Amino acid sequence: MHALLVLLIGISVSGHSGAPAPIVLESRLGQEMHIAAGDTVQLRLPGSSGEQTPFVVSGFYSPPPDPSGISRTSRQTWTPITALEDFSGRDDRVSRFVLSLTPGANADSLVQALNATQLGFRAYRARDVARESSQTFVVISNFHRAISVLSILTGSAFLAAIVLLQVQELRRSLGVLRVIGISRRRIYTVVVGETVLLANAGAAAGVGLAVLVSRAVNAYYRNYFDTTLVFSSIAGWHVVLAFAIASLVGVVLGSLATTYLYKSEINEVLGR
Amino acid sequence: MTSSDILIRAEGVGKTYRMGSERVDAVQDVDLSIARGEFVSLMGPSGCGKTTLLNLFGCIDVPTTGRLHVFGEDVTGMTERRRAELRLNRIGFVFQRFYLLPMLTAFENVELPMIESKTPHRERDARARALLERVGLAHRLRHRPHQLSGGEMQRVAIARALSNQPDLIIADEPTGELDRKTGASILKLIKELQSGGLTVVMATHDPHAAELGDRVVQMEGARA
Amino acid sequence: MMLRVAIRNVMRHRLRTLFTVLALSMAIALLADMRMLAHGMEKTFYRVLSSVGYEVRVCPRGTLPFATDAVIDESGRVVDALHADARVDRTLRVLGTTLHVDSIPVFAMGVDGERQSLYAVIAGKDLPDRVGPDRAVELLLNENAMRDLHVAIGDTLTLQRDAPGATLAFSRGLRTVVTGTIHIAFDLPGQRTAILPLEAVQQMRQAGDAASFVLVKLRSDEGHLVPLDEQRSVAASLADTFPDLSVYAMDSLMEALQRQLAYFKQFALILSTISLLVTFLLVAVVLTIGVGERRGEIAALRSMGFRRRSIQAMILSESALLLAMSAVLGSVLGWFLAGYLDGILTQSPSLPSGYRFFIPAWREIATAVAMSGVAGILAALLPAIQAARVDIPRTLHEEVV
Repeated sequence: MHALLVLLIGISVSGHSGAPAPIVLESRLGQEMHIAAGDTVQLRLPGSSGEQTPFVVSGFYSPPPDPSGISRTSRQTWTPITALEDFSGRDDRVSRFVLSLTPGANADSLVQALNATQLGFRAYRARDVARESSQTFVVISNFHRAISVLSILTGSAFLAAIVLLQVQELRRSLGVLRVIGISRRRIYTVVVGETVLLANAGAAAGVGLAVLVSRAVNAYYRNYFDTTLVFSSIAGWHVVLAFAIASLVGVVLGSLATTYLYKSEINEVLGR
Repeated sequence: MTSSDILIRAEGVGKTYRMGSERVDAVQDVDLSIARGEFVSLMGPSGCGKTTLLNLFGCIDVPTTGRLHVFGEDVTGMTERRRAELRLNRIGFVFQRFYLLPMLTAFENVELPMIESKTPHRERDARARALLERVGLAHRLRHRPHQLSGGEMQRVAIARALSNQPDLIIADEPTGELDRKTGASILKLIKELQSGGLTVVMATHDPHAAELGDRVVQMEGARA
Repeated sequence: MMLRVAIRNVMRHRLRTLFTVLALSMAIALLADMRMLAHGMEKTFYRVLSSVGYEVRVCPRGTLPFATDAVIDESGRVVDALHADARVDRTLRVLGTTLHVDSIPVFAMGVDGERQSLYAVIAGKDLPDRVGPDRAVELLLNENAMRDLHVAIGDTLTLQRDAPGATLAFSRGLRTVVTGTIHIAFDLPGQRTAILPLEAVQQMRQAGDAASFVLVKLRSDEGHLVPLDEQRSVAASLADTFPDLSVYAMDSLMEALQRQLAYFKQFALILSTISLLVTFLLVAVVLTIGVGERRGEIAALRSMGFRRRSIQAMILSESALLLAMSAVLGSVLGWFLAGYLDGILTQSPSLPSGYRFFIPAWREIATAVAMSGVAGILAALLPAIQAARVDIPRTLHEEVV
């Protein structure tokens, strides 16, 4: 536990007196270090050999789930900004201001106006900050997309091989149907119907397996990273896509097989 | 006939199968001796046990009752490995449906059992050519089964049966899939094998074919 | 010959084989890439660590280099104490902060040490050992900074602690002269980096004798990195000497990295498992159905005296053939796919530009092929055993019927 890094975040609260300042700890930190509300904790700046400063634990909080902090090993705390200034020896200095606008105010024009005043800082809209900080996730999302395309191709080839096996098993029976004069349209319907059915059965099994794997992945990673984030979710369109691909493979291969069947010599089809 | 002249000796041989909960006596109480060089025809209607008896004589299967000696060896307690050795080296099989490997040429089909018996390459090459020539297919060496007629396929199957220079030929309805004329030429070929000193046991339901044998064993109701 | 039979069997259904090989190739490629993903980051990180050339890092307690703003307050005393250890060859103190040139931020690193290997001077000259009292402070810039600040060697630059604005009135700025261009292995893409003397950055930060961390080169025969065992032992004894600091050998940093990359490792593990499962299932299904189709032929071969082992060898050869064809295609696919996936992931803004997620490596491809081979052969065992144990009389009878 001693290796835990505690990030102190100052919040603006007035009325700080000479008594130990209050501090709110991330609940994980409280659990890990067996700290209860009302306990006094002694903090020291990292790397300094100076004196420790007492803080009274006034409560605990759980940070909202944040993918960017997934592998974070540090723990966060909140304390009044004046207490943090005293503790760090840095007066009247903040990392950033967060502004809440009155309803209907134009955020873009305010940002422009603030940046034009040359006050020594830059203003950003929250969504621009979010976009910037989520850039890594855009990259990971692209990576996942590439992997999923590859998986779909692999799955389609797998499905195609299985459907072909099915068609070849049917070959002789279809040859007999052809000999006894069943129409090409009916044979096509039989073959394509069977291949589509088989492919969709595979898709249904795959979706079922995906649901199980997704649950297992979520359970595992939530436990591993100690978070409530959702790592894997199966949306409706994923299911639709699975069945659409299966149907497409079924129709294409069923049609190919029927064409192939009609191009083959009847004796060959019947194995004579 | 001395005991060394006897190739197959069946004493009270029976074979029972289980078909689900049902017991099927495919062969019952067969007493039969077949001499070296003899041509025996097994005659009888479908389902009378001809194929089962051939399977027993060919060491494909073992009897459930009685004693069966093939080449002087007791088949009843024989291991599968030993039976496979006998089938490979001393018995040649000719099936009704040929069972040629469709992806191999006629030459390769004949060569195949010799590879399994580890015959040297040069020897098996020469022997495969000679056998195909002997069955009249010297011009069809590189043809695949689907490029051959039924009669030609059965000729390849006969050549293959002879490839490891067996003492015994087991032929199960060898003309069953062929027309009368082609069938007659195949039967003639099989008869020639006997003339060359081989023992032939052939199952057929065709009386004309059966007449080629030195002896006709009539089967009915699983009994010979 | 059984191999020839296997080849012909596999080629008997070309379209089926084509799709099977395609699916297996992609599974093999995915497996190979997941192996590269699991190891590529470690390899490049280790390469970068090695290129920096220091075996031990001394950081503020509980932090990694540049992970937070935390500093070692009296870094000079730490360095003195380090030099008291006979195993220490040389040290380099580094203090990082963000400075500005006009409104453009530059990541500045103050360094203080001899014969450093933290960065490479690719043009101009390195910093002098000492800062002259009346001279402009000398400055090294990476190529991004040179380009974005529109400066060349010999130009002067004024660095500010803050962005221009009201506070500028109270900040005099630091006049510097650019003396060289540098390359730093762990720069982020597009990052502008400046190297200055440590005391200049300490003054700008008003940080006394602080340093973000201290790099330690251990004594070795020819200046090479000392072995990991020795690094660990020195790091452990230095950790005892400095209980308020964290001391890392190279492998401790690697462990920290692995924690950061846990997601990718787990991702790679899951996809690798799925790839192997796909290989297993596909080979098992294709061969089981193939054996089912050829029961008559197999029974005939057995009746002709073919041993069970020969039949098993034939089926296993078919599996080996499918896998061999897929291995060739999968290896090529995996190689190029690794480059493509690496291109996607290395666009991450938080990744140093020299880092790679996927390093195409034949070793990983060979391992993936071997693992898929084992999965494929295991998958072929059941159909092979089934084929060898075919009931000859019954099968021949059924085939005739």
